[in-house]
Amino acid sequence: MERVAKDDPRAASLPFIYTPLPVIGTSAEVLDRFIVGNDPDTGKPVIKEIIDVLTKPISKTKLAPESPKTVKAATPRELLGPDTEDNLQRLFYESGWTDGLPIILPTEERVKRMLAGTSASPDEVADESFRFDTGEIVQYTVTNIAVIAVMAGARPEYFPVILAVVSTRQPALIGSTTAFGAMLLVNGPIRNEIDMNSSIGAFSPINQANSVIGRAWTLMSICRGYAKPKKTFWSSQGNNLNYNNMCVAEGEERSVWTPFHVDKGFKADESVVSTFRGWALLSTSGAASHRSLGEELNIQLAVMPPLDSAATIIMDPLVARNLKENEGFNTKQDFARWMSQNIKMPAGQYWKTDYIDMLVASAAYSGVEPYASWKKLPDDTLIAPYHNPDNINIIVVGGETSPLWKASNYYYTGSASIDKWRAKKSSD
Amino acid sequence: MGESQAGFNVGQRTQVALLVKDAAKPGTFEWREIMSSEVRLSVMSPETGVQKAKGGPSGGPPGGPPPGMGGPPPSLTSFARRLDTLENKTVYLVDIGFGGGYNFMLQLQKWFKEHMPSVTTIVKRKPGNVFMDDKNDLWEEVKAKGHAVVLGVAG
Repeated sequence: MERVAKDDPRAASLPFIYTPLPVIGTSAEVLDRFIVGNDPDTGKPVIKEIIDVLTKPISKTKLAPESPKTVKAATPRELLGPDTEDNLQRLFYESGWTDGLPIILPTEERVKRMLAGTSASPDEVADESFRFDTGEIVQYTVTNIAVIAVMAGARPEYFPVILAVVSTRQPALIGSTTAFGAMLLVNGPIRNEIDMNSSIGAFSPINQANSVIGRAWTLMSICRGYAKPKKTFWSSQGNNLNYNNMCVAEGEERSVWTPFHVDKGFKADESVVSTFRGWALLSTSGAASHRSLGEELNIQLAVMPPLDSAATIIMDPLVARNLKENEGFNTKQDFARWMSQNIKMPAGQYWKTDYIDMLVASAAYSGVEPYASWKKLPDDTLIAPYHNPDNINIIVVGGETSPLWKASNYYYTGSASIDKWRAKKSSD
Repeated sequence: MGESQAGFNVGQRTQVALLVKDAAKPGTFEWREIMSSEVRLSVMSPETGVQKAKGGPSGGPPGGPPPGMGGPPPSLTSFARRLDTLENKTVYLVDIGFGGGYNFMLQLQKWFKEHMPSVTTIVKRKPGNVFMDDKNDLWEEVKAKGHAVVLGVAG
């Protein structure tokens, strides 16, 4: 742990003292033992170290610590090899550039063919991102992105979608100790042009475009150094949804409601990617024969309190149609409003959820409503944590073989137009 | 002649072979490999990108460094002089807001009460976001009323 803290130059001279993990969820008796017990890094009693740090003169080595080794990114070679396919596959894996699955090797010919999928210049800067491992901001050109698109197995006609994902500047993987998942939604005409799946098994590993576009997003994060364990990547358990980030198309033709991108201000005939992130995803068995969908959601969402009222509900067209035709929700916004008013949980349950306490309590302390008022309530008082219906995302996906839905605490992180990246047709 | 030559691409390997009569088995033929070479490829690196600059202070992702990262390290001369003793001093125990931190500080306070009763301890929770610095009254209070501070805990 010490080595990790000292990797950050800002922390190099600060005194750190460690207890065993976990601190979260341990009893007072265990914490007492941690305090008198030994620091796992030094083997010295924690309480003695605390007192020493506060009362002993600062050592010269603390005041002038050895500078942490800054790892400046070496100028990468543009071309690797020549070598055999087996050796190159091994090189890519051992360099930490893959998800562990074999990749398509990005030969210059393949990258050139990928570039034909966009009208953007190969040298155009498509993205800029911060590298946690080197502290540098790096710009990536369309060609750089094409290399990764090839690796993921993309066809050139998928490339505009991948470039649009990149332009959102949202990484698929982030350096949390928790297990974030991400989701990638495609709307508009391009869904059908590239044969994306929005119907039966849309989230299953059976469709090339869904699989490959979502994989490209993760490979992007991996190749930018976001997935180096204990260096830039800390997720204790990880999340296998990151293999393709739930990449899916919305079933616009079968939905009784407006498409998601139209809700976000785009034109219906525009092709758009939207990204989401969250922790909890509950895939239901579709059981709503004894309770209404609203009652089911009330039970399901109670186990995943929302950050800033955010939820994402992905429902089969059958579910949306039932809500509209039989329950009177003419628009998805009507149903989101119903959810925001009717999904309740006790205030104590909400505030005692660790990530709510960590990430929302500060808003309550600074007077932001409704959190400031909720903080003053008795534990058993019911609150409506989905207080802002605008942050409840409703998406329609499925093959209409069963009225299924998925409920999640995923929050919307942004959308980007795909059309600006598309190759010009010969008639254009 | 009784012989025939052919080239094959077998996976990553190019093979050239002869079809020859098998002397031991009249009327049968077999392929004999006479040359083999593996295909060697040059590929483009996925790591290429143009370094623009070291990260500077920013409002956080996407794109830029997260809050607090990328700026210069703190000045080494800014550390407070250490105390000679904690006896009769006031020590702030500041929980940053990460899960379990507040309970840890309460137990640390209990330890001081039991073992160093002359030390006054004040447990506070940092009011701002757990992952960000606070520009608020707490640090001023610590400076004005406290002699030392223990900040933590995460995990």
